This record gives sequence, structure tokens and C-alpha cells, in this order.
Amino acid sequence: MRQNWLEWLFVCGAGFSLSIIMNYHSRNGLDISRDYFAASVGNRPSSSPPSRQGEDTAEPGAFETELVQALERLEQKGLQPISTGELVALVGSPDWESGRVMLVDARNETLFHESHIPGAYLFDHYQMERHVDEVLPMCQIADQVIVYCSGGHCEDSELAANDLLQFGVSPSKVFIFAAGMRGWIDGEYPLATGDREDDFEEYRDLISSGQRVRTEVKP
Amino acid sequence: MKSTGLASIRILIGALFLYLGWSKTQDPVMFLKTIREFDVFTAPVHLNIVAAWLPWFEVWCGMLLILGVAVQTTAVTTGLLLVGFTGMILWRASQVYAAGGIAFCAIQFDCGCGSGEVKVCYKLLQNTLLALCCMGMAFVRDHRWALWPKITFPTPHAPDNSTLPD
Repeated sequence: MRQNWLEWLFVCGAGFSLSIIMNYHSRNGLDISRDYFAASVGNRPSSSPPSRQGEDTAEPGAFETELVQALERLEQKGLQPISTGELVALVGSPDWESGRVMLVDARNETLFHESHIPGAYLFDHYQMERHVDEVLPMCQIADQVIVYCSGGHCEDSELAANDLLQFGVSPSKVFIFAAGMRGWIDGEYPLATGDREDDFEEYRDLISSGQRVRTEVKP
Repeated sequence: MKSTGLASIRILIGALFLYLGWSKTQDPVMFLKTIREFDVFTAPVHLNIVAAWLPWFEVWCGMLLILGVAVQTTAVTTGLLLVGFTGMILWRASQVYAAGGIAFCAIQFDCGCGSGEVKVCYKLLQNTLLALCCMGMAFVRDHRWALWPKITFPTPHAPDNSTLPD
């Protein structure tokens, strides 16, 4: 009987301890003491809403519904939205080049490297300690800080915007691009891949030529 | 032959746990978001502990099963985990079903199992079969290809009274 309990202690006790230690030392590990969703209030979006079998999640109208819900959420949280048209007008402008208009990508590093809006800074809400030193000084310089994530149901841009507000960025200059990457890709606007680069000339040429083709700027 | 088959099942279940657990450890944030949608854990610290602990614990159990260490206890533990997962999936699916408009077996969502979006009926069946296999393993005494099937520690010997003087 005693040995049986020792075996349970080994499997469950050692397993639990090792799991917590592995999480602590893992690069992607979670901070157990942190409330990741502190800024999430009411009308909570679902990252993977249940669907019917065989349902096409990209059906027309579904994304628009998600956007309407996202805009309602922004209003609830007192965050300012920015439309795709307004963002397109800003990207490629002299303000965007000078850093007066700053883009913040609130998705994770993997998705950022796959593609992002040209000139955007990576700021993953869940790993913000990695990015805050680079992003915060730029936010202080900028007149407009536009935060985006995957779009629609994605709540990460709102959580990241809240982080920036907590760090003292003025609420008047923080905007949320609710359509996010999905809206940007659907519009076939230029994309950058890999790490962030200040190669504005190439982006500017693409945008000013009216090219609406998805383009990999630098692999 | 029978023990070879049982050992193969044990290793297969272990490999499955190892794979699914490892895939979750690579993106614990996604797992955190998914289990948050179950609305079972309301306190942030509870949510974080489960999201931090469970993937690595699955890896641990998977390794123990593959190596054949503390087989019966690990089998019961994994079986209980599967029963818990199945209950949670059933609970969420029944909520979606109660909301109306979708046939039960037509519901599909990402249950946080590490395999992406799945059909509920398929997942429930899969988990039930796996849980039954795990519970069955707990009754197997013959452990082929097992490193340390039962953890035993040396017990102190009773003094030999025959050598003592009268």
C-alpha cells in the first residue's frame, strides 16, 4: 500500500513539479501570476467559435459580422477604431515613414514573420517583455499608434493596446485596426515578411503605383 | 503474442500523449485561449496553472507510458485525464447544441486537444476508446518492453530471531 502511494506521488507529484519547472524554463512559457485577459470585458470574442461540420468559415458576411462585433467591443472598451481605407491612406505617407504613424502587430512572432503590414513593430501581448523596450520609445514619438492582430474575433490587438495605455501611451493616439491582417490580405495590399525592416522605399513604390498585389518584400 | 500487443497499445497511447502534449507546449498561449473558452476556470491563476501544467504533464505521462515506468498508475492517470477532457468537450458541445440550430454530431471546434478543429462526435468516441484502453492497461500484470513497470523500493528486513540467544 505504501509503495502504491509512492508510485502515485512519483507520477502525479513529480509530473506536476516537472511541468511547472519546464513551463518556467520554456521560451514560450506562461507567467502563472499574470492576468492575461485583465483588459477583456463583456462580449468576449471566441478565437475558435464552434461551427457546423463542413461550414466554410470564410463565407461572405461572416467576417463582416465579426467586424461589427469587434467594433462594438472597441466602443465598450473606449478604444478608437480605424478603417482599412484610413489605414491605406496612412501607410506610404510621409508620416508613416517618419514614424509619426506607427503600426503595431499584436500577433505572435511566428505569424509576424510569415507576413505583416510593412513597417509594423512586433508587440505580442503574451510575451510583451520581449518587445516593450523597442516599441515603447517609438510610441512616445508617434502621433498615431495603430494596433492590429488577425482581425475579426481576434482580441489580441485590444489587449496589446491596453498594455500600451498602461505604459503611459496617450489614449488619444491609440487606434485599433479591427479588420486586422485578414482585412489587409483580403484587400491585397503589400505585405512584408521576416523581421521588421525600414525599407520604406520599396513599400512606397508598391503603394504609390497602386499595386494591389500581395507581394513578399523580403523573404 | 498477447503481451506484445498490449505493449504496442501502451507505446502507441504514450506516443499520442507525447505528440499532443508537445504540440501544446510549442504554443501555450493558443492552449490558454482555448481552455478559457470552456469557462471552467474563472480565476486567472487557475487558468494559467492548467495551461502551463497540462501540456507538459501530458508529455510526462506519454514518456512514462513509452518507457514503461509505473505503468498501472500512469495508465489510470492518463485515463482520468481523458475522462476529464471528454467531460469538458461534452459540456461545451451540449452548450452549443442547446443554443440551437446545429445537429450534435455536426458541431466542430478546437477543443484544445492539440489536433486543431475536430468533429465533436469523433473526438468523444476517440477519447472514450483511449480512456477504456488506459483503464484496461491498469489491470494488465504482464508488462513487456517496460523499463520499470512497478516502482518498488527495498523494504527493511525483519530481524532474524533464530540467531538471537535464548
